[in-house]
Amino acid sequence: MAEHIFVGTSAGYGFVVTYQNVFKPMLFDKLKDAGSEPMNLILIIPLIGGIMLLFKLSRKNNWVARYPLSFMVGVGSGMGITNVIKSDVISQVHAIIFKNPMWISGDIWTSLFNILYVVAVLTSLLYFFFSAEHKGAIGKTARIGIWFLMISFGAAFGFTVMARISLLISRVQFLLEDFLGISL
Amino acid sequence: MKRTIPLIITFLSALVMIIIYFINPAHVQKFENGVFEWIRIIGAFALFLGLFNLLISHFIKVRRNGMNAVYSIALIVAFFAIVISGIFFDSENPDGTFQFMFNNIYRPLSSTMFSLLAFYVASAAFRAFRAKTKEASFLLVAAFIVMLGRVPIGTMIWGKIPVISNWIMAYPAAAAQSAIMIGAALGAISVSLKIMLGIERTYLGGEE
Repeated sequence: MAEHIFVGTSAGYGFVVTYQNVFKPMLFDKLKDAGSEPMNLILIIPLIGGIMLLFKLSRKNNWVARYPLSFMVGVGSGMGITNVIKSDVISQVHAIIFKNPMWISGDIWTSLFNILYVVAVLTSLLYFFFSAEHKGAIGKTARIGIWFLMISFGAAFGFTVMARISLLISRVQFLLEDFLGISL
Repeated sequence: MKRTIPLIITFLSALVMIIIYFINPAHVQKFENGVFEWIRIIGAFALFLGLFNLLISHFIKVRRNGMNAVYSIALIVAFFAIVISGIFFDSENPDGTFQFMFNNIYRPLSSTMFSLLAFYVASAAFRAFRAKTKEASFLLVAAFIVMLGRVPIGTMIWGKIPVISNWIMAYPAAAAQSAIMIGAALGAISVSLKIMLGIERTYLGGEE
């Protein structure tokens, strides 16, 4: 029962948030003649696009939904190419090269750790390089990459476990202290 | 025609977004914001598809009047109660029905659902934490140190455990995350190019 109520309230909450953040300020308010701001009639195009998207529910005419979908996918992929290159590739490489200088004179440990960082990035990247067979030197280097990846997954897993456990503790505390009135 | 025009729209819209990236933002800011607004409006309609499927499947369950119909009724009632209170009444009012439902139903249920994941995580940990191979041992040791580094007992066992935990997060884990991000980014770029050039067409659906 609680699960169903949670699904219902989540879906409803999502709808209300979308209405208040998208439909009302971006569409309905701008299509109304408010006096100070004239009607923005060009917004009828995305409104029609949105209605066309609902044709996905029709078995016979679901091809109508392809037009707004192709616009969304096109804009997404165009932005994906440029923004991903900038934010995920160039900025990451820039951070690896410039933010952690390989050698800091007088600080041997930080220098070694920074070298380890670069080695870890390169070996982990080599693991994702499938254009060459993972044999010989490439195979051995990729294997070191797997070790770093496993350490990363383990750390992420440990972090997630602790976050979930702390949530559970807070719920148990709520049940015992606030709900049942048992002081711990 | 039903496939060609969408493919042209995809190519042109992707091309325009790539071109405007190389133009001075001051000249194209308004256009770019307009495109994002259109995308958000059209995308918001996609929510109706999900809601329609969710509600229809539960209305069917109620109509069949099976053993679990009461759960479906609870879902439908909860959905419409929060939607009506959020849209037709003052949702910002801290004493209103919407805020009451948010604070007393949605928030505790969502944190309980996420806290229940602790049991699933414990079950997954039982299966994953078997040091059968060298790689699994790395995962086990890293997870163990990070977990101990986040609780007081870790410091009680050995004062350096939180330091080692932070070092794992800052160096090997962060480096591998950077590599994963770069790899995923290169994959996303290649998929975007395939979509733009019409090589990847699965988003159009199977039929002509």
